[in-house]
Amino acid sequence: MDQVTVTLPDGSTRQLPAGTPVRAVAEGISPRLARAALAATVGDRMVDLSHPVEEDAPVRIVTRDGPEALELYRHSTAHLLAAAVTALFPEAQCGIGPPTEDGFFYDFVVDRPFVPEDLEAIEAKMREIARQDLAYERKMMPKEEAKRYFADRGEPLKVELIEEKGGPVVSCYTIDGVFMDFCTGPHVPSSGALKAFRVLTSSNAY
Amino acid sequence: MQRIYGTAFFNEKALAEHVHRLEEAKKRDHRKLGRELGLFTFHHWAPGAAFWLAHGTTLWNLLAGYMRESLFPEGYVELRTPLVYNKQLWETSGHWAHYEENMLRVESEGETYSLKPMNCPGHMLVFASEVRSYRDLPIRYHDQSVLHRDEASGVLAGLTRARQFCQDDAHCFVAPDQIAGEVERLLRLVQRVYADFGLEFAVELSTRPETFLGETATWDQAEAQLREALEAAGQDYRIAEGEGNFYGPKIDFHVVDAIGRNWQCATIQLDYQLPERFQLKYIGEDNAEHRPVVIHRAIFGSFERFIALLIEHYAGAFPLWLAPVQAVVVPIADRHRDYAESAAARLRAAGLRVEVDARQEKMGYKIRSAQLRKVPYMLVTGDREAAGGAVAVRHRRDGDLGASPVDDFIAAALDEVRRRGARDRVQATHR
Repeated sequence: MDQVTVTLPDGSTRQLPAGTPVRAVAEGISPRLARAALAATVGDRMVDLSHPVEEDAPVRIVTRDGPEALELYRHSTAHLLAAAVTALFPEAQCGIGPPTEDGFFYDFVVDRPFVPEDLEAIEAKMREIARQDLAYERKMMPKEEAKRYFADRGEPLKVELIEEKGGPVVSCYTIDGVFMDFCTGPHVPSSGALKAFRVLTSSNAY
Repeated sequence: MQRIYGTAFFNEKALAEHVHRLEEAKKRDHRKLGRELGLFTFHHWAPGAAFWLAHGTTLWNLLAGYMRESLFPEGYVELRTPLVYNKQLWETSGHWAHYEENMLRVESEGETYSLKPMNCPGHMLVFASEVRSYRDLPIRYHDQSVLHRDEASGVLAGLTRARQFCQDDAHCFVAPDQIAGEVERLLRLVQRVYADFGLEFAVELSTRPETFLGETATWDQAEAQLREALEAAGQDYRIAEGEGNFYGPKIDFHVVDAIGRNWQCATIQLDYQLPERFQLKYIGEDNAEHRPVVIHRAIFGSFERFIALLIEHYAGAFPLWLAPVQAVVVPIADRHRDYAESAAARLRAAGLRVEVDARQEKMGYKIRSAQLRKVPYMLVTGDREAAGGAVAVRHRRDGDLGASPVDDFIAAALDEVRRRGARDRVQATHR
């Protein structure tokens, strides 16, 4: 198999078989780093730890200390929120859910506004999914297949988003099969990485 | 569509601190306190424009007066300039091309006008209205007039995202070699003003962006002068590479409030473009015409925003010099009412803002009510005080301070007002 050379931030290099997940780089450095790893940068792109390294590139393992770590972590928490909402409100349609300066938000189309009790139940569900330490996995799907999937699930809003933003093959993320969302990522490797979060408020969005 | 907001941190401690800050911020929310303290209100027929109530107007006037007192010794003159201008002005300034969607239009006699979103173009006209000599520079125009910027009503939020506001705006017209000196004076002024309010701040120098107007050499020179000024004023700063305006570099001030939030307030911006557009000139020592540089600067930023900041920073408990009501005189029984009124009259004659609470209510109720309104001093008057020409002084934070002759209280209160940001309070003469 072809070998690729990755260059670490300290300037040292390592050889790996092409296609090895970037997680292996962290494992090769130390088990401690592998445990702390949330994502990685390959070249100038931030990617999942499962991302295969296909060519020579500079690689950096993103841990909590990385400048982009909190944003990534909050983005993954937003997905956790959406997973909890769709589990509790199967008819809810998901909009977008980005990280913000102070946290994150996620938009939903629902029959009635959320009440404080809903938010408590959602947060409890999020804790439950986090405790189960479920894997965040990236799935590449042909655009039409992804649209069909979300159309079948009764999510016309997502279909619209995919139509608008997706290329011929679109990137989606699953949380251990319980939830799938159209998203370019990257994300933390599993829900267990998400420790301290809080659902704060809800409001009307347009 | 329903939006759910959440937050996440790497550990529980950071999360708890953040949630505590949010709760504290909610308690201090200027919209809530503004209503409770009778400072301002809004009506949906005037979106984004506050109605300043009696106490709010007092606070506003105190700030406006404070700013005038701070600026006049620095060589500023105050102008009052039109609110509505023909669109030709905005075409000349470039606002019509870049800013039109934020401007409120007015049609009259077949002509298009706009309410001004900023004072600068008007000040350019004033500068250009006379022949200027290098001996006149720097020329400094201060203007507190009303500005309007159109914002979607959905994003309006209390005083911080308003459609109508006033700035403590000024424009300094300087010769290119006067930039460093003028900016240094300005930095020292900003330092003094923020110290008077007990505000901490951080400073940022924003340099040439990727797309800019003018010559690289002029920019380099301007940035060097700003650095020189920052260093001469002993001001720590960080550099925001490439964050300057397309028309010139700038220095921004970020105030950190009592619960650690950042507020962008003061700004000092160099501008080479407006003088060009308005063909401004002064006659130099060489008898030739030269182009001045304009420094846009504001210290409060907008009055509305700054008042919101002060309300949230002090949690509504304004220091004595800013408190709309500085003392409430509380007669214990009806028979003490005349004495309370006469004591209040003496305090007012000395320039203090005083109310008398003569309601037929229990003492404790009246004290609590003044306390809730965050009035700095409660002056209780009963038989003993009336007989001795005194008041029993109670401070909203420190509680009972003992009795004090009315004149002594006045002297001590006026001294506290003069010391502004200083935290000391009136000391009782007898305990």
